[in-house]
Amino acid sequence: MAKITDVYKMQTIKNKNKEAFIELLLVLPAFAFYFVFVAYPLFGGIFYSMTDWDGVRKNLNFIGFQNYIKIFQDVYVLGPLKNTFIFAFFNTILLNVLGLLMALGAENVRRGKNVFRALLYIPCVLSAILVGFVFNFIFDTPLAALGNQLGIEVMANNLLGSKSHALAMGILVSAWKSAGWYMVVYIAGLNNIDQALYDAATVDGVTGWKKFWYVTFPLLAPSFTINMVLAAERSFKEYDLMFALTGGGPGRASELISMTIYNESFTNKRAGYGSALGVILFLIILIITLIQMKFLRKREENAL
Amino acid sequence: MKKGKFGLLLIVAVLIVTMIVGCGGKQTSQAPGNSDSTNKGDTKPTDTAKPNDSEFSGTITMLIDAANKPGIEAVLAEYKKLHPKVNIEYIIWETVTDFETMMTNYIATNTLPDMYLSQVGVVQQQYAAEGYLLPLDDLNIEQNLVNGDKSLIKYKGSLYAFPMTIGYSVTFCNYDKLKELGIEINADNYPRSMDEFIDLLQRCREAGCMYPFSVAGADTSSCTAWPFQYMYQVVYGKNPNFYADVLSGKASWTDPSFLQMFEDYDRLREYMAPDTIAKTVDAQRADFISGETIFYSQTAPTLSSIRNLAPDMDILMLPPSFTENPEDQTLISGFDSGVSITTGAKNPELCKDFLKFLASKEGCEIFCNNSASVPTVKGAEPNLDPAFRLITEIANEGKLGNSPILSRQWIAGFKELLKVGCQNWLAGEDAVSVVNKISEEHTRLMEGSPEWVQEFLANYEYVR
Repeated sequence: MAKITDVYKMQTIKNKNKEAFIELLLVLPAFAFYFVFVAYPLFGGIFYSMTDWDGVRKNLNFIGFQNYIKIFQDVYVLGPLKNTFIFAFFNTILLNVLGLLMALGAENVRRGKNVFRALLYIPCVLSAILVGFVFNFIFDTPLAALGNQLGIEVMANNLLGSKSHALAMGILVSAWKSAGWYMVVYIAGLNNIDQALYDAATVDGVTGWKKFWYVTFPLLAPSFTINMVLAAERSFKEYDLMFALTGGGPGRASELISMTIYNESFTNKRAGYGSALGVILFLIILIITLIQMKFLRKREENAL
Repeated sequence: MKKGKFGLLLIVAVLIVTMIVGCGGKQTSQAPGNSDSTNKGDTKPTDTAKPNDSEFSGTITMLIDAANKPGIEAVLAEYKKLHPKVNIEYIIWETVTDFETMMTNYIATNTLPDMYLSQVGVVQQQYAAEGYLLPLDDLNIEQNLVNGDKSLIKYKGSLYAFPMTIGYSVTFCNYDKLKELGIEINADNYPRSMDEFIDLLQRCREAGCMYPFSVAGADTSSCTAWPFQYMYQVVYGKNPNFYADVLSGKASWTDPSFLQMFEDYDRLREYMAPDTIAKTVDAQRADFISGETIFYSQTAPTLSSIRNLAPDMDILMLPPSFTENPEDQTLISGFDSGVSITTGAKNPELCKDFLKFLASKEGCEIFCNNSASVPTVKGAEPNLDPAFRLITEIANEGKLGNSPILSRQWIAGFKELLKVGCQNWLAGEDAVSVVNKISEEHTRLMEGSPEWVQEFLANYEYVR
């Protein structure tokens, strides 16, 4: 009896191992892809961040954490970092507010719902570089002419040339471009809300804003979590749109940390230092994402 | 226990990956000019004998800017009459920073293009020093060159780049618009000093052009073109060793000679449009072609971009005129875009043969006729764009001395920080604050590349 049990156990283990092996084979291509395009560059960046490589020389020296120590003493990095936090904060809020408003609006349209959804989504499919250059022209010519007509001097002389307004304009353009994507997530969330809840709320005499606040918004918690996390993460990584729109100028008024990483790595020939900045940005995004997930997940649980 | 094992496994995996990346990085030190054995270019051709001319075939990958591509295409068309099976695959760069970024990526991935055409400068010399470029001495093409400063095309006595153009740094003039305003310029009455140039701008304003001078403040090259011209003519005119003195601490960007530049820039600012700071290069070109502005500072090779947009426009290039005294005015010129062959070339013999043709009188003429360039080869007489008429007359008659284009010798990143400084100044920051920041940022660049500073000062020959 004991022998039969042992044989059975061994057979079970063999079957499990076989299954595990097949599962591993199935996962291996994706894992290899992930290793080559994500893990290897990530650890490569960490390695180079601890060297004095200039991007050209064949030899490099390992310098430990010197680059990281320099970063926290470097005012020419802290400035763009501050700009990035401002950009990410306001962009995240604006994207979610706009996305939600667009979703609510698109869902409440009786006719042509799909047309409205498509029109609102179109800016998302445009290339960020293209949007940046087009809006650069818009600020330079039509908006400047409008500013002239209205007598608004800062607008007439191109808002992108104002140190106080350049970053804000970047936030607005970024929100215009990307809000459609977040709208789609909110639409999916809205469609998942049981109509019976609205009916029950109507029976209880709940209308308008209160229906949204007590029924819709709490039940959108999962969509809200996704959108907040992704909006923040993408805002911190913003580069191409701001590069095309302002180039980081005037001066460094709209320079984001991603542009500083580029300038340090390629223009200033300090690839090691630029890599260290990249690692710092990665850690910032990671920490903020974890914090967001912690608080927003709790909110999801409470809502549901 | 399982969690502990998993954690240990993860740490080991991270360490292994980091070590793999580290071992794959560039750690071996090589003598300058020697090729790395891991580079593709070291693969020797299987046939060690020099191939016959008619046997050349293959595709050359060339990294090149859009403005010069028509020139190379035209040369290739002629070259194909002898070697029909030769082609070029072009990789286009937009700005010099783009080019250096792309080269950094190619170096890191060991996928250098076969050849490139780019502005000669200190970064390209570094490529030669690190062994990424093939020496061109065996081609015997240096003797084809006209007189000029070869310091940036050679490294330790060997030629690494053959310049295809002489780059003049000039003041572009929309001569159609100027004539419309009733003003004419010729070899006898062109502006020769800052005062004369300001007078000319004032005359344009009185004739109806409110903002005759343009700066594309949003673009690095355009924003720094005038300051660089001023520095070459005026700052270097007073102290030809200015930059070496800055690097060695004997001079500073806060010195009165550099601060004066912003005071003179202030005189020009009155004649610039209020939206200068955010103006892009495309907007500047539109204003120039439409006649809303008449003058701007830039290097002559950018003429081809304007020509593509306005082929029939009468453009006149003027020598920069920002000195206090007319006697101190100079032309500003130097060897500009040069062709190099990398050690990653798959067929170096083909590349060398093509370069020999490019560097011949015939090749140079074809190139210059198709890219609005001034020839660098002795005896080459292309059909120069009429925009060069005044400059070439002055150059041929030797009326003015020459100031070299010095910024290409300076530390990497300087152009970007000067652009930031100029933009801050255009945005209303006072000049003293601007030069203080420029000085601080330049010190930061020096501290980030101490070896570069030491090498510059060790190789610099002081002008007495």
